[in-house]
Amino acid sequence: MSKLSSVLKYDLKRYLRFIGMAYLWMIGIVVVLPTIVQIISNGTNNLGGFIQNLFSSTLVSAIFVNFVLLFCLGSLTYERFEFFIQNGISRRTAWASKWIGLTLMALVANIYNQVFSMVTIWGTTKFDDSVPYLETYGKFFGERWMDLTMMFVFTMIFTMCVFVMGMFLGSIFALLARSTRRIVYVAIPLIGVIVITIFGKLISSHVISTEGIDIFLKWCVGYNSSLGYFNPLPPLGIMLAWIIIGSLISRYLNLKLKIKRGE
Amino acid sequence: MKGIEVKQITKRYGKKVILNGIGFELEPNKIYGLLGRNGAGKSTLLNIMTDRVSADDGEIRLDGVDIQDNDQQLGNMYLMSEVDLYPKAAKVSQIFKWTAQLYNGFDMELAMKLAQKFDLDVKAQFSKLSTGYRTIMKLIIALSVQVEFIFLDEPVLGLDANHRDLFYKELVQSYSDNPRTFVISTHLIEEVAQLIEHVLVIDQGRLIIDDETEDILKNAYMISGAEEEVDQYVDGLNVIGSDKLASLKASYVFGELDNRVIPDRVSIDKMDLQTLFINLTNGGQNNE
Repeated sequence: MSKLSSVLKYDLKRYLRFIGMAYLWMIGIVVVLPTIVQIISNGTNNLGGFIQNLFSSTLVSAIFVNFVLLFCLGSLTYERFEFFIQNGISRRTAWASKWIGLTLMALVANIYNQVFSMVTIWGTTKFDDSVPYLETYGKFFGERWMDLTMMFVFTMIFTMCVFVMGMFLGSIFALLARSTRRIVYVAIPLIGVIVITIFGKLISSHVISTEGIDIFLKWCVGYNSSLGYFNPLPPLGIMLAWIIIGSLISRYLNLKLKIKRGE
Repeated sequence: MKGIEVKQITKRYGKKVILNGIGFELEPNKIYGLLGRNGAGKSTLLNIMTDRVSADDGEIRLDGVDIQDNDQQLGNMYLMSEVDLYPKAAKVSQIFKWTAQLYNGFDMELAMKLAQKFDLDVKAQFSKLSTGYRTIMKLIIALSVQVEFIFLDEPVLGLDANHRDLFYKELVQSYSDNPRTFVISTHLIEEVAQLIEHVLVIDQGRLIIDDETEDILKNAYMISGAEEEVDQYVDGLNVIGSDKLASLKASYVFGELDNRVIPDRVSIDKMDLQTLFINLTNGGQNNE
């Protein structure tokens, strides 16, 4: 077995364990807990319908959990590096396995969500309103099958953006010493608040115009006033560019990882 | 060449030079002793040799191929070190399984047998093990993993005398059953002196000894007797240190003795490895 497939097998097993645990927690919080409260307060009257409603609401929770999980799994860098370098696995292989593993997880999650969305909502009039993508970009192609295909591609690329962001931030933090990391954790929110405050004041006192930012943001999300509906291609292009750039940077930073002294 | 070539390795931490142009070769199927005082750079060197940290200058080659970011080469060596790089929440048995999966060669039967001998609970969580048992777990992996180069950095840290004795016996057994290269870095020189075939001594970032143990000890002498006569005898020889008690003196000589006449009140004995090491690395200080 090649090193990459050995590492990938290890990664996938670990990811599935994490996801299984997260889904159990999610079902506990979204379904089991409200059901217990319902039984205590109202008894078992109409319990079947109540539980069915709770289960249908887990779709949105599942999408959220997928994003959070993929981000977290992407960001776990240093401990993973420690374990792999102890086991004679190069940084290059460890990075490639993580990228492939998370892409596979994103693919499985998106296939599941696509099928689940289509099965549960198909045929209802609420279809376009219930799926955020179709609500925004659902009219672009004019052909239902093309819009649905694009929905899958779009959400897949978006999910990849999420884990690439995790990998990008994780690799930056993995290179910092513990003391520097603590400073950064405190400094980033502070700087963020200061920058937002300054921007707010500059905008309110008309020192800078928001027109340019407004146009840029509209372009980013694919808004076109002449078409009257959103175009998914500009955000798709931006996300693809981020996946390439973010992945390359995270790979470069991963190759710089080293065992830290005293940590 | 077959084996590991360490070529002009230099490493600095800030302004401090930890390793200064270190170079040597490790041959297959040999037991090496890597000796040096605290902070001499032994662990840093082993970390560089297994690509855990990178050198500022120089390179490491295994069978002629650069080891940096090379799965094939890195998968042919194992470093057992003081730092714990295994997941804290994992069980010992899980760690054994992962090692087997990632190294593509692990004697699980031997690992389980050794765990039993050392009384290591394989169902225990790694984080719940004592320092000694963490060391034992890593030693078991080191002896069970199928690689050609095994580096043991302070291998008996936290082990009691019984476990240390058992480890040395198992090491010899493992080496005779399946010869491969071991590099043992330790401060307990007396305990490993009988095991090591080749000695590497690092002092202040430089390699000062790189020779067969037998050849080194062949030229290491302790000249003792009345102070005046000892001083007369060692005049012109390579004296690396001395001890003095009242009018008696012991001078440590590293190098060949010429055929000078030995005075009546002077005796010449062989120096052991630990005494030689102490005198080579104490910066020329005399205990007089």
